[in-house]
Amino acid sequence: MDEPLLDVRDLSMSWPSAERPVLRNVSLRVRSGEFVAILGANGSGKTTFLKCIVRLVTPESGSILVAGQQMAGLTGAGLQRARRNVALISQSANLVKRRSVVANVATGSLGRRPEWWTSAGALPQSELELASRYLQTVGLEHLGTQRAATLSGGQAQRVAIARALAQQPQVLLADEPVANLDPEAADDILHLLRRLAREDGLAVCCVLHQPDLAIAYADRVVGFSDGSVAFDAVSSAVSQAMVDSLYRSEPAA
Amino acid sequence: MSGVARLRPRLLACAGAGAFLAVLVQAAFVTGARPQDLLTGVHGMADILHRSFPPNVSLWSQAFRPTLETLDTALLGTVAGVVFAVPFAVLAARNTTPSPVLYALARGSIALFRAVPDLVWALLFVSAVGLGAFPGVLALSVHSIGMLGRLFAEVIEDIDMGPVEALSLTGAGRIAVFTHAVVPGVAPSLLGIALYRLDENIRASIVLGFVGAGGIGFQLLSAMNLFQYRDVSFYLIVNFALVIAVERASAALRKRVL
Repeated sequence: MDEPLLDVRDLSMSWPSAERPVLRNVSLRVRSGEFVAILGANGSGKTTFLKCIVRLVTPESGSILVAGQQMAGLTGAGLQRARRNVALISQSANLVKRRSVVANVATGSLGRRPEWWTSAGALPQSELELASRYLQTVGLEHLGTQRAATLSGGQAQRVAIARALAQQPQVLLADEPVANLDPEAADDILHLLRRLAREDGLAVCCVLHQPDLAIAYADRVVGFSDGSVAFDAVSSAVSQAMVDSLYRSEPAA
Repeated sequence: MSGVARLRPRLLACAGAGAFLAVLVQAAFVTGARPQDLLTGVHGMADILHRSFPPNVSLWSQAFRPTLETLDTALLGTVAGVVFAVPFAVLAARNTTPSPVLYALARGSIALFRAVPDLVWALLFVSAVGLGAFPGVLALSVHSIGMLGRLFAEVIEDIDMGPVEALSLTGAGRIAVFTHAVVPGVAPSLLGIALYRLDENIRASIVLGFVGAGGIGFQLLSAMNLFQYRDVSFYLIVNFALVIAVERASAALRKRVL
């Protein structure tokens, strides 16, 4: 069987002022082409788990392998290099609103270019052409020259996905990417994420708050409860009772 | 509601108005304000105005170079001020400074540049590099670093950090993140502020001429010292035209970029 592109083992993490750990010995493996959805109540540690993977926060213990590269313990230039293999899409698209859509997408490739090459702030034609291809992948090639400020929520989220693709990652993380979208736009985004996993071989790990969408689109569903993994099952095996158990007792914030 | 409670807001308002009036009276006392002198001395002003007309328009060819000097002093001073204010602002903004020590140093320098008036900077630079427009350029740049550095830092502190975080996570370096996520977000605001500064610096560069920093201000002072009021009125018209022209141009530019 293929080696997982994302291999997290025994990850633990606590906030300094919190009584209980946010994450307790969490392990998760995601293989190439797999789409894994993470469900859980507010405060169950889902977002912190993703932030630990990209090292926006530092875990206390555990191992994080992204495409064979150990992320835990890295700092400075080493961390900067390692981050190229893993892209994170947030609830907010976080686009530079005054720039064009295609320029926003092209900035996804900044990490792959030498610092001196990208520091002047200009984006060469070759990079913009590549960005147009990623826009085509998300179905927005016709909006390339528009300012990002003019996009709808769904379009902005697609552009954020195109920017993540321009990074050419092997692992794609998404933190509630459909939280602000209407049902139709949410379906579009999740359909796109599943297609990227199946066709481009990405390992996709997506935090969701909608159990029905998670079961409909993901290959596997992982339930988080109180900072640990409550269940990890193929979507077809996830029952209503399993989902209900996640939301029964929300830990205090 | 009792009578006293009902009267309380009115009493407070009266006390506030009384206090404000007292402050105004002390200000008039300290500044030696005597409006009656203005009435008794009005004939002196009328005499000067009479002697100022008609403006000596034959000076137009002599006024061209000093006017250009004033404009160029303001332009160079503003551009140099902007160029140096940007790095100071990056260091003086909490969200972009690399260290607390550099933050404190940058904030301190900006405060110093701002606290010393441009006229004093001009006197210092005249004593260093001699008379002419160049000390004016230096004075305006240093003072502009102080004024712009603070405003630029505030604009940078107010940026949306989402795109900054998003680009950092692509593995991009600090400088690339700054040029691609911070600069596009703040550039229009910084340009707008810089254009306002150019407006201010045009007026300032006229005054700097009074202390030997060249330009139309120097011509104006010389004409006043020689009691050549027709020349003075002509130079004042030139000043007025220059200030209005730059104000209009910068307003049009601001409209385009914002």
